[in-house]
Order: sequence, then structure tokens, then C-alpha cells
Amino acid sequence: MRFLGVTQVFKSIENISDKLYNSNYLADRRLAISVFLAEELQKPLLVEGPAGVGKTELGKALSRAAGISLIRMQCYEGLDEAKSLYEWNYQKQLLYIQNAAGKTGDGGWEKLQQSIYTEEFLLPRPLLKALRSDEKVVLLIDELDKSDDEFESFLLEALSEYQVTIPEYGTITAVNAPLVVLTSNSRRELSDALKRRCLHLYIDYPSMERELQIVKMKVPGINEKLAEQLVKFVQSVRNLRFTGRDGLKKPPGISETIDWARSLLMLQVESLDKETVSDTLSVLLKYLEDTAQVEKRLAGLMPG
Amino acid sequence: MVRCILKFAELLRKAGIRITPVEIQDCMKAVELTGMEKSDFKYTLRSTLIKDIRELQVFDKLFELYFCAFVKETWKVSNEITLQQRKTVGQEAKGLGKSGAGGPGQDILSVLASGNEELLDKTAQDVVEALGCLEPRDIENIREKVQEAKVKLEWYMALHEMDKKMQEEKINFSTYQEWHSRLRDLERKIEKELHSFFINNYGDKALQKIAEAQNINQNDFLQLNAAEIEQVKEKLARLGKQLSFKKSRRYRPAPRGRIDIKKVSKKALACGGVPLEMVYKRKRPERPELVILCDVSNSVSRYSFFMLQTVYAAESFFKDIHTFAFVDHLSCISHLFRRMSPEKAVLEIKSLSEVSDSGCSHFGQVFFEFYTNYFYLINDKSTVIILGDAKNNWRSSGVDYFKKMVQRSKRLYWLNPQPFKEWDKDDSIMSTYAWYCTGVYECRNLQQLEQLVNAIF
Repeated sequence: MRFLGVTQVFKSIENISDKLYNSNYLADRRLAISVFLAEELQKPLLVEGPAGVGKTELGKALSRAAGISLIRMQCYEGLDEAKSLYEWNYQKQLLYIQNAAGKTGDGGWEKLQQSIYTEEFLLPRPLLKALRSDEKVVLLIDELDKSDDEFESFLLEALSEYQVTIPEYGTITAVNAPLVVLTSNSRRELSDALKRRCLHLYIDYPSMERELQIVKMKVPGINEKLAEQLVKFVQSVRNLRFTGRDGLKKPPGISETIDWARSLLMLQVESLDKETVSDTLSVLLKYLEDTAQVEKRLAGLMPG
Repeated sequence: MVRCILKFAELLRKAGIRITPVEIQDCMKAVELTGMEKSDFKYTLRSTLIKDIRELQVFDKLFELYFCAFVKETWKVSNEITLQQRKTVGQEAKGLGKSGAGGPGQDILSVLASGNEELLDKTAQDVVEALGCLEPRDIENIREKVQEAKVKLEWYMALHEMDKKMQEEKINFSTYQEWHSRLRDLERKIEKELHSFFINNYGDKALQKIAEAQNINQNDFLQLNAAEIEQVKEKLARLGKQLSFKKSRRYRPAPRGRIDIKKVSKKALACGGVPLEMVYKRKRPERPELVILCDVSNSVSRYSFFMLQTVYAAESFFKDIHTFAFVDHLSCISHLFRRMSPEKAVLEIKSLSEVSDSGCSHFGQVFFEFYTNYFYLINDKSTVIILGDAKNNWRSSGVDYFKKMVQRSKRLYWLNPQPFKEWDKDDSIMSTYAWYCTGVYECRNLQQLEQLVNAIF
């Protein structure tokens, strides 16, 4: 399936990693390939992984890298068509009808009916905006697992054909297939039908070297030694889930690492010691139980 | 190439991964775009075929096995060389290991401490070598072979040693973690070594068998490893959740339900007795009362635990659940589940002492006890589920009491975790009871459990 006037924003796999790098996102080969395929095959990209590993950031970075605009749709329970796709502007329609009242002669009703269901009275919501946009856009549908089943099935048409049907208006087909990124935290199992239509990308916690690179990239000005120490610490905190009988409720993601690095930089810390760690642990861990557990093991966790 | 991908997809399907033709199409298109360089190829296949995080591991494993064998077209020839190489390498590894020996589990600890990737490989190869002759039928029980290899390596002693060192603070926590992750690596390597050994020697057939062994839907509950048990638990929780939203079967087939005569006549009064408007009965969830009797003797306890977990995940679906555990005595354990989460409660059951005198099941005694003490719990609305292997150790069957239970209840199902073939063999008296049951099901893997839950409720 190819669209007329399709614009290719990325040329090759290497091109994607380079451009993403330039817009401050460190992409590995796997990620670059998935994005490349998503664009070439014109399929939505479903990104899954633990919280805080840069799923949403990928969508944003893609729009920055390609230099195209980003349309973001945050999913939540109760999100429906009216809020995601379109709505008729009732007030305006009503005004129009009042204005037209009495002016039209015979057959006025038919004409009126036709003219109040036109684009002028349509309020486009994110999904429709993305489809009707003249230029290619990145459509980021964030935390899809938080929406309801009904909304998910409704998305199917939009995502597989890049078109939507509005009963009074007709079918709207995308001018330019948007680059769609769906993210999910696996809070709820997505339906097979949706998964089948997507390409899948799983982003896991990064390896030590990668995380170090990311920290250096995102927090310029941090000194080498501190960066290394703090990444090592975060890694071993994360690994608690393998060895401890009771892992953490929420292991720190990359975003927490970066936040921590930034705050340490702000506090002008030169190198990590026990005290600084326990003082700033709240940046890294979001639950009281987790903090307590890590503090108990602090001595063992400190990088040697 | 096309054939190759098709065959691989077939293999994945055998391993329980659902793959549709459209996805294969996508995959082929994608491969054309990205080319055949090994890691690119792998990532391409992965993002087009695999859509579930939990399936990634199986994919990785099978990809390595399948495509590495595929690339080595001439592996029959090269096999001999590798075997020879392995022997020499193995000896070297032995030498290395022994030099650091100083107690149980020390060999493997020194390997872990060194953190040398090659050394890990060698250890894996070496231990597989040491397992001696592997026969074709061993393909079926690779898990056991891995276990055997672990024992050979004094795995558990090493684990214990590690914990001890950790407590005595001879090693710090991050080292401890590192060693653990290397141990996991090693286990994976041993398994892979075994797999490739079989594939090299027995070719395609072995590959098929290995793929089948990865399918958690069809694996016997008893054979699952820790990670798979977690997966199964997750799936069961989801199954339970689905169940709790289910509407009753009775009103469902009719598109709009039954007519509510009472309301219709009320409305009819307003228009002079003509029933102009129909009012339909709401589809109300039917909430059965459940009585579960679970055999918790060693041979079947795990099945019982899985069953209980499913049932309690769907707790809100049932009006009332009475749970009993038994071996040769009956004990009511509903209170455990009221007090704590199903997972903890299940652990608690293991330490119950009142259910067992001899440790051997005695169904006759159990039914008798139920009849005398708890018979009032059953009424014409209750569903009774009995989970046990009906292996009665040649004791009295108590079938008279059993009959009374059946007569008084609405439905009674028997779930037997033994393979169907073994029913009525030895001391199993399944057919004695089966005669009276509403239904008897074999229940030993996830697929069967899912099917029967849907059939019963």
C-alpha cells in the first residue's frame, strides 16, 4: 500500500541513527531498523518497555530528527472518538441555522443540511489532524494501554488504512501517511488485532555502557568519574530484581538516572559517597518501600 | 529465502507463538528492505513477527538455533571437527578448573569470579561433554539434562557458597549480582550447547522437538522453570479476570434477553391494558457457588495451586468459594484466602499438617469426611470441582458418599492432572467416580486449563 505524494523523511537506517543522535536521542541498531521499517512499510510502531526508558521520548525525538511536527495524543480511561477524532461544532452550526432561518426559499432545508456538515463546522482532534495534515507528521499515541478496549478497536481502522469514516461527511484518507508511534506500559494486554497491524519494538533497560553514553549526552558538563559511578549504582539498584527475593516496586528508568545526574550536578557533587546518595535517593526512587530497601543495602550497592 | 522464513515461522508457531500470514508478508517485505546481514536480519524478523515481550526469549533462542544451523549447511562434516575441538577445549577447561579447586562448588565459583566469557563457554561445553552419551530420546527431557549438568557443576553448592560469602562480606553486593548474572548466562549456555548438540546430530527433527518444548501452553505444569511459572501465573490471572466479567450463559444467546412480565404488565396498565412496550430482563451475571476440593499430595500439588490461583483471581465472579485441601484428610482452607493474597495462601497450604497422616491420597476417607462435616455447604446451586489424580492407593473408594455429593450439587466436575492414558492404570480408579460426574477433564497444561475454565463457567 503506497500513498500518493508520500514523503520519505529518512533515507536509510544509518540516516535514522545519525539524525536521532543529532536530536539528542541515542538509538541502537535495533531501534533504527524498527523505525526504518515502520516508515517503509507504513505501519505503526508499537513501543513497549518498562517505565522511563524513553518510549515517549522516541516519538518526540523522531519529530525533531525529521524536522516535522508532532501530534501527541495522551490516552486515558474514557477517551472516546469525540475527543480523539472529531467533533461537530454545535454552537456554530446552531448560529448558522439561526442566521439562515427565513432567508432560504424552497428546498432550503436540504441545502442547509448539506452546508452545516462541512469542514467549516468540523473540529478536528489529534487523530484527524494527523490524517488531514498536508505534511507528514509524527503521531504519538501515548500509553495506549490506559485507554479502553473500545477505543483500541476504533483505532484499528485509522491505523491500518490511515483513513477514518465520518458518517455525515464521508471517508477521509490520509494525504501523507503519518509516522505513528504507539507506546504501552503493558498495564493491560493489547488486542491481537492491533498488535498484528503494528511493528513491535521492545526497549529494555540499557546496558551500562549505553546508559553512560546517554547520561553524558543528556547531561553535558558532568564529570567522567561521577557519571560512571552513578550509572554503576543505578545499574546495581536495577539488578536487585534478579537477586533479591523482593525486587523494587519501580526500578529506576533512564529518565530517573538523568534527573539524578542533573541534580547531582546542580549540587556540585564531585564523586559519590554514601551520604550524598542517601540524601538524593528520592530523585531516583519513587516509593518509600524502595527507598528503605535500598538504604538498607547501601553499603553493598556503592560502586567500589 | 522465502522458504527459509516460512519454515522458521512454522517453527515459531510450534513454540506457541501466534503468527499470521500478514505478518509473514510484512516480514518478507521488510527483509527485502533491510538485507541479510545477520544482526539486521534478526532485528527485522523480530520486529515484524514478535509482538509480545514474553515471546522475545523464545524467539532469540530459536533464531540462534535455526539460522545458525541453516548457515552451516555442511554441519554434518564440520561436526566431527567441532567434536574434536570440544574435547581438547574441555580438557583445558578441566585443567583450569581443578587448579583453583578448594572445596565444593569452588570450580564454578572461580570461573564466575574470572568473568571470562570464553571460560564460561568452555565450562558449558565441558559439562555437556561430561554428561556422556545423549540419546535421541533425551531430546524430550532437555530440562532434566540441564538439571543434571547443574548438579555435575555443583551448582547449588556454589550458590550457597556465594550467599555465605555475601553474608560474611567477603564479596560486595555488586560482585554478588555480577556472579548471579553470570550463572544465568551459564545456564543459558548449557541449554544452548545441549540444543545445538541435538540439532547437529539429529537435524531437523530435534529442532522441531525443541521448538515444541518452548510452548508454555502445552507444557506440563510440572516441567516449567521459574520464569515460565511466572508467565503462567500472569496468564492465569488474566484468565481469572476475563472470567469475572463474564455474563451468564443462560440469557446470552437471545439477542435481547427474556421478557420481564412483571414490568410489562405494569406499563400496560397505563395504556388500558395493551402491552405496547416490551421490557426485557437484564442480563445478570450468574454467580455460581463454588466448592473446590484440591488434592495437595506431592504428585499433584502444583496443579492444585495453579487451579486455586485461577479461581481466586476470578473471586468476584463467584458468589461464594469454599476451598478444601486434602491428602488423606480434609481441611477447609477458605480462611487462608480470606486473610492473604492467593499467592501467599498457596504457600501456606504446603505447611498444613492436618491434611495428611500417611502422605498418600485416600479419596474414600476424604469423601466420608466431607459428607459428615461439610455436606450442608452443597445446595442445588453449587458447582463442585475436585482436583485429584484418583490414585487411591488401593484404599476404599467411598463412592457412596461421592454419589450423594453429586446428587445434591448442581454440577460436579473432576479435573485430573494425569495424562488420559494413565487413567485406571495401577491404583487409579478414575472410572469409578467418572461415572457420576457432570464432566471429567484432563488438566495438565495451560491450554487445557483455559479450555476447561471456559467450558465449565
